[in-house]
Amino acid sequence: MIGANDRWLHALRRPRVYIPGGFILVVVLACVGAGWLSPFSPSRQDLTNIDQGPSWRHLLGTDSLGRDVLSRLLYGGRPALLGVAEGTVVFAVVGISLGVLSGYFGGWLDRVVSWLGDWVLTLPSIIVVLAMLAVFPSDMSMAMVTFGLLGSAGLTRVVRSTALQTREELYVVAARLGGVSRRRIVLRHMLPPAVATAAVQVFLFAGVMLLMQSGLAFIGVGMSPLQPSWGGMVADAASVIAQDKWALLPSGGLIALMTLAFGLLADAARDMASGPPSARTWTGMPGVHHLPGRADPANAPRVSGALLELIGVTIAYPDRKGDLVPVVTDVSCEVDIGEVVGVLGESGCGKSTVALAIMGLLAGGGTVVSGSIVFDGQRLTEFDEKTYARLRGTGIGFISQDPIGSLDPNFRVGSLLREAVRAHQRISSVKARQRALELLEMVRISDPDRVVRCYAHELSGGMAQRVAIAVALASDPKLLIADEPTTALDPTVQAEIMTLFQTLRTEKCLAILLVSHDWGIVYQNCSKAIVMYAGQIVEQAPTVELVTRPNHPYTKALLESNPQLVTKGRPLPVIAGTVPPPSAWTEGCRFAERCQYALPACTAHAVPLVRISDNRNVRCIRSVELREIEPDVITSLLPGD
Amino acid sequence: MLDDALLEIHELSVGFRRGWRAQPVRALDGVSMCIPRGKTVGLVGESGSGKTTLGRAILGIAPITSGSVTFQGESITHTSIRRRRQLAPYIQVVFQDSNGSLSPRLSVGASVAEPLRACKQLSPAKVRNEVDAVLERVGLPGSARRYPHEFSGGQRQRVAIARALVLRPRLVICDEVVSELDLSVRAQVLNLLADLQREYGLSYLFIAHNLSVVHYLSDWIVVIYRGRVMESGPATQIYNHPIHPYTRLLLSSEPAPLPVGDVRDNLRPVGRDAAKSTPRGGTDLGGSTTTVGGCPFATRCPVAIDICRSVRPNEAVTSDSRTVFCHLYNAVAPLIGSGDYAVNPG
Repeated sequence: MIGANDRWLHALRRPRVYIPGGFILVVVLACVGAGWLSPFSPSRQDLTNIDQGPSWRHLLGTDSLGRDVLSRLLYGGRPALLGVAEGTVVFAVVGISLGVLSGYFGGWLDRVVSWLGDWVLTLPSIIVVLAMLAVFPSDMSMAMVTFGLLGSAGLTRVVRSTALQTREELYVVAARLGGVSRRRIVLRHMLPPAVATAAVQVFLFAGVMLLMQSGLAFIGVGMSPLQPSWGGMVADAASVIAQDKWALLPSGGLIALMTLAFGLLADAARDMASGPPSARTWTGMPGVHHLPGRADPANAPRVSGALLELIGVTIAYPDRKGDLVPVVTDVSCEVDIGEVVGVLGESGCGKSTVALAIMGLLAGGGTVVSGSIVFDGQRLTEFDEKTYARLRGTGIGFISQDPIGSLDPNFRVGSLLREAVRAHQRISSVKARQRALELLEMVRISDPDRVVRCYAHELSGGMAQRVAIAVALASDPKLLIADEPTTALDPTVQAEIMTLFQTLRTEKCLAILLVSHDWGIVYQNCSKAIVMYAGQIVEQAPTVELVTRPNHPYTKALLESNPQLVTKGRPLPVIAGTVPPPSAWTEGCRFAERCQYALPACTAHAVPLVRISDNRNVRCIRSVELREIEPDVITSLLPGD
Repeated sequence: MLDDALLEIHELSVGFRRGWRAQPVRALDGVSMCIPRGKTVGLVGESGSGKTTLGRAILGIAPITSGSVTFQGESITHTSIRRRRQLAPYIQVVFQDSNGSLSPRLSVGASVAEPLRACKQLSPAKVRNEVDAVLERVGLPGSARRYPHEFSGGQRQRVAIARALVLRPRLVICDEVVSELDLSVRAQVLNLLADLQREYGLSYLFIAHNLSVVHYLSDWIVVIYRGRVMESGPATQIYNHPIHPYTRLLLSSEPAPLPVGDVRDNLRPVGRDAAKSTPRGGTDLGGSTTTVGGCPFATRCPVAIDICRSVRPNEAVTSDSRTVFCHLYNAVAPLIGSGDYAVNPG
């Protein structure tokens, strides 16, 4: 398990964090311990030994007054690092706290803070600081604090906008409604995400502060010229640059390295804020790869006349170590021209994975490791990415669960449709426009002239789904893959979309593979259906038979847990437990541990998918027996035949 | 049912201001309802109908423009932040999005303990005991130290329920709590809610867009559309014999998973092919065509007449004690059950 603390530890173990972090830490410790570490006093002059390069006596050489460079670097780091710390702490504390408070409380506080922030942002900070140093000479701390204060106006804005988002997070609302005090909400819920966002800015600002402090010391303001400082050392080196090229390297190089280290930490902080490393570390190419042995025509499986045929498809994803773990095993099915086939099952059973595999859109390194997908006589599993792209444009259309998200928010509907039309047809833009209107009429949008001028966010969910279907139809596909197309929609809109599917099927002979977890949708719209459990097909049958005489215990249990079928007041029959993850799959029946009819024999061997009649397949060793001994619960619900 | 009311809402209107001169958009418009002790009231409607807003108005986080909310005899329409915090233990909420409603940075136990620490003075050991007990009650024993991302959607929803229950509230507002869940998991959560109600005598305001789910859990159903009540009444009556054309449209839109025809009035044409070819009650264009005078459903209603578009329908109380807002009620009521009335005439 990964807790918050583990995440920090995890981050510390990454070289991008520990190398710059460790470097800064070493420099800080060395400067703090300058009293013990430096071989000479920083102001000890040795005029017989000026402008020397590195030697055993003077590890980093000597300067124009013969002072030891290493000692001066160590002592000079003190005002530099102190200045950075002062400025950065003020920057962070003021910026984060004002940002969180004004974002969370809003109202007059927010207005005052924003107004002040705008005002501060108009001030040229370097001039303000120089003016202050003119009044209070050699007060570097004050200069750094002023810098931090002036800079924090920008941070306040960034943090405030994060806080405005966090404030609306449901868990913050829930805490508020739970009676949690405002102070606690701010500390516990608002602060951590704000700090995560601010961290990037804070590290970058630390780098800026270092340059600022050195700059001031370089021009000789803010501190006594006798006091060693990094900026002062750069200035000294600059004056003798013609005679001694080495002199600039230790001080200038250290400033550069420190600034770089702060920048790297800012980078690492940004990566951490955007989430833990996960799927991105996976190796392997996305898309469909075929095992070489299978492509051999000798053992190529038979190809039926179906439009789409899946033959023993197994899909695997790489785990963290890079080993392929199968998530869908041995899936075979057929979709005929103009046929609507349903795919049912709980989430995590592999329904969407199969749909994406057909499209060649498996992400995160997923591959078809064995079996083949045949569409319209072509073996898709042998396709390369380019051929696939062409096929997606012409043969197969895809509709996702999130209609609004699937439409580019930057373009009007008309432009999206024209793009889709012209992607595979070379026609003039006038014709494309006309075709776009036709497509919208095809999906039964009553006022296409208005809709073409809309952006995705201006459409209702149902309307957006119709547009998404129109985009999918632009290429005249023979097959439509619809992955939970109506789950996010209202029932009334869902009914309209389903009616549209039926119309398209009859008018255009469109075949549809309909992924859904809604029995009603599948029953009312599909001629046959596949029930998937834990990556396998457990039952396959014409829908009427499937719902009236389910043969697999899982199908039956899934059907019974539908509240539409239960007498009110009685507890709903449930399937105890959850779908096992691929790592927990066993050799035998994967449903056995949740099955009320399970026997020891169920888990002993792999259970094959058995053909029990012309068009029915079941993966259960007891299906025949159970059909006879168990009075059919579902049938008993039907009104007297 | 009025005499044992836990929460009463009277003529409640909520308006959101958009821009500073524009007329506020009315999210709720004169809604009245009542939640009795130990019972469940189901609130059904499409998205944008104002279901969630009603829940938020009860919780005091929606701008109420008129009307009143009364909890246990006390008006909580506009209460101080302080009084709200005192009321927090009595009214709790469970949201739809179990992922967003738990802080990813806190362990499940810390999330559940939070309201307990805020509202009750308990020793840390006692808090821990209470949290363990309530997590065990929702079927997740020993999981206090785990983090939300280690749980499935259904389990996270149980954690959210545990957090709502840890203060032993009287009223729990369940906002679409099962709509994101799979069938089998949905059944587990629904059963859990029903059991908890029996055990603790809870009242629920159960908000959903799916009538069959609402019907299963509720004693009373309120159907709203565009911020107005269309029909309300005993759950079984509404589900089996809907009167309002909107309720009928909602019901007929939920596809039955069986060739049952229908146990309800001939709502749905029997047989699959008939269902496929049926035209539906028009598309909701989603625009802000808020009707000023008439019934908000008139633009989609298959049986609307002229008066529907101009005059707001009055409340009509039927013989089986439900309330209907429809001009056609008198015309429609006698036909119910006779087979002459369907959502889509012709």
